[in-house]
Formats: sequence, structure tokens, C-alpha cells
Amino acid sequence: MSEHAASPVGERKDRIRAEVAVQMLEGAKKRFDGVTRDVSVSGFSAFLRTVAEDSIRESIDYSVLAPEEMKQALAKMDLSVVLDMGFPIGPAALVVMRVENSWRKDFDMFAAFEFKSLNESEKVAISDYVAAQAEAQPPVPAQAEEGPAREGVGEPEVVNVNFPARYFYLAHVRELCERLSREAGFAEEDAMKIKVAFDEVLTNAFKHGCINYGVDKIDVNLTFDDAGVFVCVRDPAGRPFDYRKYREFDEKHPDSSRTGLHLVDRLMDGWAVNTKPGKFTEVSFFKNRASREG
Amino acid sequence: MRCKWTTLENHPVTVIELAGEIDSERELEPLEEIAQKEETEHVAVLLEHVTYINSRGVGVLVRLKDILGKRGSELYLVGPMAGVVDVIRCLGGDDVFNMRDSLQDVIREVEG
Repeated sequence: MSEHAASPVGERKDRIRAEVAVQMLEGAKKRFDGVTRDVSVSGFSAFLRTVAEDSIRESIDYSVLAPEEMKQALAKMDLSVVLDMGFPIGPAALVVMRVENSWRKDFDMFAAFEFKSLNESEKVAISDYVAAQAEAQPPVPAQAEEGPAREGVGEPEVVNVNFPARYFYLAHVRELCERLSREAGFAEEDAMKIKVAFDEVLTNAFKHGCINYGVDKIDVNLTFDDAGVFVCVRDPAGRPFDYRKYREFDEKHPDSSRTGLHLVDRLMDGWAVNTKPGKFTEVSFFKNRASREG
Repeated sequence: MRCKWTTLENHPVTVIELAGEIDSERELEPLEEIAQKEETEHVAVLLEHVTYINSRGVGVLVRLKDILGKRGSELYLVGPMAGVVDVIRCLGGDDVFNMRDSLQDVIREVEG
């Protein structure tokens, strides 16, 4: 089994971003997406379990592939993944629908899967396979993938700020982020970039994620460690949005929308969005100490 | 954020001096009012004392430029700090804005 948990920063490209569209019984499509830094099949399986809130269980009928083999399999679009979804569709197989070059920093590729239509014999075969797997080994705990994965993590120190959604607080929390970044050893220029990215994410949480002014709360986690800073901002609305549209930002008209995530993408080393509809939206990003040019 | 403006005598340039943090459209509304005045020709926004700008601030400057551009006037951004330039550049503003080091550069240009 390939182990990538301790990969140095320079090897972050060994991560794959994947999107899974699940066709629900009622006809609606539900989308899951997330990030795995372990491109072995087992790591990919763990990722899928995570994004599907444990509804996807262990089951991939492939022997473990080396990262490069996994990439090649994706590139050739000949990889399929067997899953036991439990409800509502039971065992199913995912096949690669499309593979794109990564649009997010530090990822080699983006892979989208779709469900393969199964005939009865295939369904039986998959059910048997899943049952055998379940008996053979206890379920592997899902890997915690909260936002972009970071490597080279030392002893982290976490600062948590939870504050009511009032405009008054935004500037103060923003200042706090910049000051802490400087205190943590970031150069003035980088601390400013962190502040800008943080401000954009914070303002989005305030504008789009807080319905009840002064009542809803925004939760901020700033984690500082040897690698850099990891920032996570959570709002309570959980309004899904297509964050990939940040690519539609038009530099000839920079007053248009999409500027916030565009800035985060330009200034930070990675970012992710995690939405649980109706519960929360989390936007997280990180900045390395030895950062690439933003 | 602090904002004050003046029209230079004998020069077709309205100078707007900003200071502090530009992070809200609302605070910048006076700028648009200035740009919409008939007597305003070119506008130079002094950014030397602006310590911070975000995407909303840049958005206001773009609108300012658009208002002026419609009647053939120019907007100049003067002396922005490196951190402010970074944000403007990241948003593609270095192709959109005329950035100058000093007010003298602007005056020379408009009278050139």
C-alpha cells in the first residue's frame, strides 16, 4: 500500500481531486467532491468514503496501484471503482467519465466519475464481492480530509475565533489573522496576502452564509505550524455554490463577481470548499512558509 | 478609511487622497460622486497611505475608471504600496489602471 501521509511539500502534486456524481433514485443528482493525497486505490477509496459521509464502504476490486499507475489508469480512463453505497442504489460501479488537467494548485489531475449501469449478474457479483470484503476485514476508518491536505506538519497551534455575524467584527478578525501570521514568522508581504485571502473568505461567509445578522455565527480556525498556516472559515448556512466558477473571473473587468476565490487561488497555495447543504459551508486554504510565488 | 479630495489649480486633475484600509464599497461612494461631477476631468487617486485593499475596493476603483472613461477622462492610481499593488495585479488591474509613482508624473502626462 502506498503511503503518502508524510510526503514533503514538494510532492503535493501526488494528490488527485475527484468529483463523483451520484444518481439518486428520485432522479436528482447529488455531487460529492473532495481531495485525496493518497493516490493509491486504498487512499482513493478512503477519500470516497469520506465525501459520501460513510455511505460508501470498502470495496474496490483492484489490487493496490502505485501512484504513477493510478495516474495512468485515470488518464486512460480505464479505471472503475466498485462501491457498496448501501442506500439508495446498493452496490454500484463507478467509471471514469472525464479527466482534466488540474484547475486547482498542486494537483495533477481532476477526475470525474459516473455510475456504470449494471446488469443483474454484475450486481450479484459486486454484492458478493462487497460481502466478502466486509467479512475479510473490518472497515477502514475514513481519513480526515478537512480541506486541502498539508504535509510537513509540525506541532500545530490552533486559534479558534467564533463571533456573531456583524460587520463590525470582520475588520478586527482580519487584523488578528494578519498579526498572528506575522507573529508566526511570515514575512510582511506574505502576512498581507494571508490577510487578503482571509478577508475574501470571511466576507463571503458573512454575505452568503449568515442569514440572521448578529445572530448567526462565523467560526474561524487558524492553525499555525512548521509548514505554514491553515485557515478554515465556516458559516452556518450551508448554501451550495459552484466554486469552480472562480475560473470565470474576467481580468478585463475585475469588478465582476468571482473575485474573492480568484484572489484566494492566486495568493494561497491551495484551497477547498466543503458544503453540507443546510448545515454549513467551510472554505479553507493554506499558505506555506516556503511558498511559491502567489 | 479616510478620504479627502481637491482640484489642483491650473491643472485638469482632481486629486483624491485615500488613507487607511479600502475594504467597503459604501465608504467609497463619495469617489463615484466626484467622478460624476461635470467639472471633474482626470482623477488621480493617491494611494500612498492606503495600507490595505480588497476585491471590493478594487471594484470601486474599476467603476470609477469606467465612469471617467465614458467621457474620455483618465483615472490614475498614484504611489500604491507593494501590498496594494499585489492585490490589484492579482485582479488583473495592472492592465486596467494607469499606475504612476507620483502626482508630478500624472500632471506631466495630462498636460503633455
